[in-house]
Amino acid sequence: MGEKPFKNIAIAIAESPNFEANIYESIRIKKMIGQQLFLIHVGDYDAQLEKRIKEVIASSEGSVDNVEIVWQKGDPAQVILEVAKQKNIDLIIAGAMPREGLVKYYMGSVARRLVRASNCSILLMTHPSKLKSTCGCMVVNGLNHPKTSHTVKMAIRVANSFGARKVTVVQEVAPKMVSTKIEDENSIAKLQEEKAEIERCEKERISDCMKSEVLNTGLTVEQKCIFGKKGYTIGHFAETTKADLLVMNSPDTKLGFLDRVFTHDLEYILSELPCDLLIVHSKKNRKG
Amino acid sequence: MNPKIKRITQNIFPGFVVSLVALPLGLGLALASGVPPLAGLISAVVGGIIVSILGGSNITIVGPGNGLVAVTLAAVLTLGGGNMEQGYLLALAAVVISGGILLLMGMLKFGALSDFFPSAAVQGMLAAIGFIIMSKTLHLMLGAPDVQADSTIEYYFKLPATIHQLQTGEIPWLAGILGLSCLAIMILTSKIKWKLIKLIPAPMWIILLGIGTSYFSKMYPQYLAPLPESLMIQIPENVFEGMGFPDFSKLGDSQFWGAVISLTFIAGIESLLSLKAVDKLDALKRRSNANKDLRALGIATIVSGFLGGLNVVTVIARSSINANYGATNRWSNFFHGAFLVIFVLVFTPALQLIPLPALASILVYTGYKLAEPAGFVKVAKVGWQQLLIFIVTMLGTLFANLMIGIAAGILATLLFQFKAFGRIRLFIRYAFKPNTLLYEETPGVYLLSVKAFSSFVNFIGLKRKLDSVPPNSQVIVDFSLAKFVDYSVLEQISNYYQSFKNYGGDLEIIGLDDLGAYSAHPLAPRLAKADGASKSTLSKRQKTIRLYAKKLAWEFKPQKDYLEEEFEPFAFFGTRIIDSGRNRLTGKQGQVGVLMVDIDYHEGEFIAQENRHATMVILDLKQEIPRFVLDKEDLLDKVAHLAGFNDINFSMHPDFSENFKLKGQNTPELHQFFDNELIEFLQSNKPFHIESNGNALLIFEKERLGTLSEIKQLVSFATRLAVILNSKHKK
Repeated sequence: MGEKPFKNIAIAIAESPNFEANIYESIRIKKMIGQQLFLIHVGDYDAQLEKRIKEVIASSEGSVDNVEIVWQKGDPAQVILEVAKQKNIDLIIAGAMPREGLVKYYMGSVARRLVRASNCSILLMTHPSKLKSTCGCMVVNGLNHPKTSHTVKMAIRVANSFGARKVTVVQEVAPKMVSTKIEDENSIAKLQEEKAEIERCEKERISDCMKSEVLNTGLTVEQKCIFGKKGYTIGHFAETTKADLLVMNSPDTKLGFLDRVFTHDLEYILSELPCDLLIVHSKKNRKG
Repeated sequence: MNPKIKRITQNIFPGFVVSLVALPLGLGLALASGVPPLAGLISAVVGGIIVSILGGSNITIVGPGNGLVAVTLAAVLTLGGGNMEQGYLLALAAVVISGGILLLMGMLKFGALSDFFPSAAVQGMLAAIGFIIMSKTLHLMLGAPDVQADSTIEYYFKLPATIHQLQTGEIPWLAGILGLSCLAIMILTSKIKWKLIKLIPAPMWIILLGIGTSYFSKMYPQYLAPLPESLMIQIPENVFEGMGFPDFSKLGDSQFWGAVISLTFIAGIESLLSLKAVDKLDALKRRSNANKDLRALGIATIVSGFLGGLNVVTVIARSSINANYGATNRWSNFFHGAFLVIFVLVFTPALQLIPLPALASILVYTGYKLAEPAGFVKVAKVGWQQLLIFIVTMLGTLFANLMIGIAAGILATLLFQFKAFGRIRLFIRYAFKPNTLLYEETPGVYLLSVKAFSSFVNFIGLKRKLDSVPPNSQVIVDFSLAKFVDYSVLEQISNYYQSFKNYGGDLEIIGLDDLGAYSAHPLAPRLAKADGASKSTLSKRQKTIRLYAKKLAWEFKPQKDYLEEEFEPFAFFGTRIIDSGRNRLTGKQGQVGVLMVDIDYHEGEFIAQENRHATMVILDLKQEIPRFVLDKEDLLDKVAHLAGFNDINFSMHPDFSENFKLKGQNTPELHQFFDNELIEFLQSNKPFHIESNGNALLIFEKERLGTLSEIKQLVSFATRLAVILNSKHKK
């Protein structure tokens, strides 16, 4: 299986109905994809609470080591970001908020700030209580972007560690990339040819990204080239195919207020999470 | 004959027949528009020649349009300030500029414009245009050419007076009799199946009758008093004399620009709607290039305006005659223009004998066709909301003007959709967000998933996706993530269904059964848990399943049903909660009971709840078999509790072991159960997820609802499997 994809994982905990579930889930995740787990409690040290946390940790399945509790007061997002820096965290786990109406989940303000400001990967959980579930199908973005290669590799490592069955790399191609406009029956045929050519190039590009990665037995990697609005299409795809985890590149620029007004790329997914979401951070100096 | 020449010559006859209709219609439409009769023919001739050269459609005919009568007349009256002569020249300027705008719209690819309007509103607008056309021409048909009124309604109020004049003899009785008998010809020829009569189109019979009557009364005035000059068509001896030249002096006037906008709007909508309808009539199943056609129509309109003609639009009635008489390409449009030129140049003296009541009867019939009660009934069947939108648009158009009418119709539709959707802010948010996903599920099969809601507001996204699918492939339109689907969308999709069928492809809609319909109509808007929406209406998918059940002599029950008992014992539902089932199909294959059902279930609870729908089959075996789970790949991990289940391989069938993952408890028993016959059967079929709970099998393919063809495959697989298992039972 090789090396685990992440080293230090952090999760913020607070007394809530999901308190225990969150700890169990983070321990489970840590066992699969990380080495050290930091439970960050925003607030003063509380001996009683520490006792409870330790009980929960002890009651989780199997042996638990490398778990550290960090106590720090302050603004939640800021605390998490500071701890992440101090402890050299490379993955933060955060919970998504439920929303009424059509959209089931969206990013809470804390999680949104983490995405904007952090320098590490982020896992957004929509199902903190879904303990028994396995991660079967994953969807990964295959954008034509320098970061993609690293994201795809990480996704495969995570899929190996989770024991996933299927990873689908979705290459979203904006319709304006296709120069043929559909007007009559001739242009439809031309369009199909052009699309097939684009699909071939995309396949080649993604295959190059994955060349060096070893796949677990039982894991299949598929590629899907979809023509549609970037950022939106992959979310809708993850929703219709009932994926368990969606893996995306980290945003290029820190997301600001304007990005919410003019929705684009990642923002479509953040405002309407189709499933759990892993945003892979690519360090600038890292090759590939 | 040289095929190239043949392609041209075989379009001469259709072009000729169309010109027989276009001649009276052109004269009549111009007359009703308040412009010299020749103006209508000019636009038909110019349009026929220019659009046949530059156009992007195949068998369409262009010329003066019905819809434009109302706007052109309004333009002539308002711009001329009562002076028809002056108004005509000023209106020509508006025609030229509207042609320029249409050309621009074609260049900017506005070909999808007509899809932005709610269907019921467009139909209401057309009905209003029908009433407007009839209002003045009814008087003319009865022999009263000079009735003046300020509004459409007033014309109708003045009808009794005209009839009274006819009774007292103020109007020559011949005019009334001629008009009414011509109307009778229009109505009856569509009902008579006599070939000799059918050979010549009804409008031409009317022209012949009119000319014949005038000729007779001229020769024998002692038997039949000739009609007064005012009831005869005015065509100058020298046709070139009558041509007007546009007067651009009112360019700074807001009324002028109002006229330009109305002309452009109606010309664009009428052309694009007709184009879509005509494409369905094309025997060669070609798709027209709407933008190219719009550009050609724009250029033709500019030229026509400069020569004194009306707007050039694509016309549905003449185009369908063209298709009926076997036109194959744009040459018939050209020939129709050419024949019109010959008629005018050669037969001018004969044309001058056409009485106006005869021409007017053609227009009354045309107007009636647009506004006929059947149109109301058709919309009312879809639901009272649609009828309301239809009536609002119609009344707005009649009492104010076209632009206000269509705006009122759109507003009414929006209000209705806001109310249906519940939350205006959410509606607006989604109106501007993408909501469609299209991808190739398996080669040749495309899944088009639509989220949130689908209405005329965001139809363009759906349309673009549908247009990009090769028409010979299978498309599955999945509305299961949508909460609301409106009438305009369903109507448009039913058109797409036709075009996919024509090319040997297919289009199926799934996910509509869950949404309640507003009426029994197949295209009625559908909304999740709507007040006023009933769940009792079967969708098209349900009806086809019912038909399929009948063929198998199986039982079909569309109603909601609870199925925990049957489905819970399966490992797949160990972590899932079954809500209910619908569309239950039950039958028997030998000893084995077969049950197919659309099942609703969910994963997770409360906020984490995710609702799923899938079509599944259960085989009730009535015998003990080992427990196992078999799948090609990815659904296996969805079966969470597989405690004590091992991977089972067959050394005799390495390829089977490689392709299928089999998990079970009792290895020797399973080796016995999966004998050569069963393995060969499984290998030769599509891989399904098959699960045994000890005495029954659960079979399904995907975690979504099946289309009819998928259901048939699933049921056929299950019954054939049942046959194999039956034979085992006997052993």
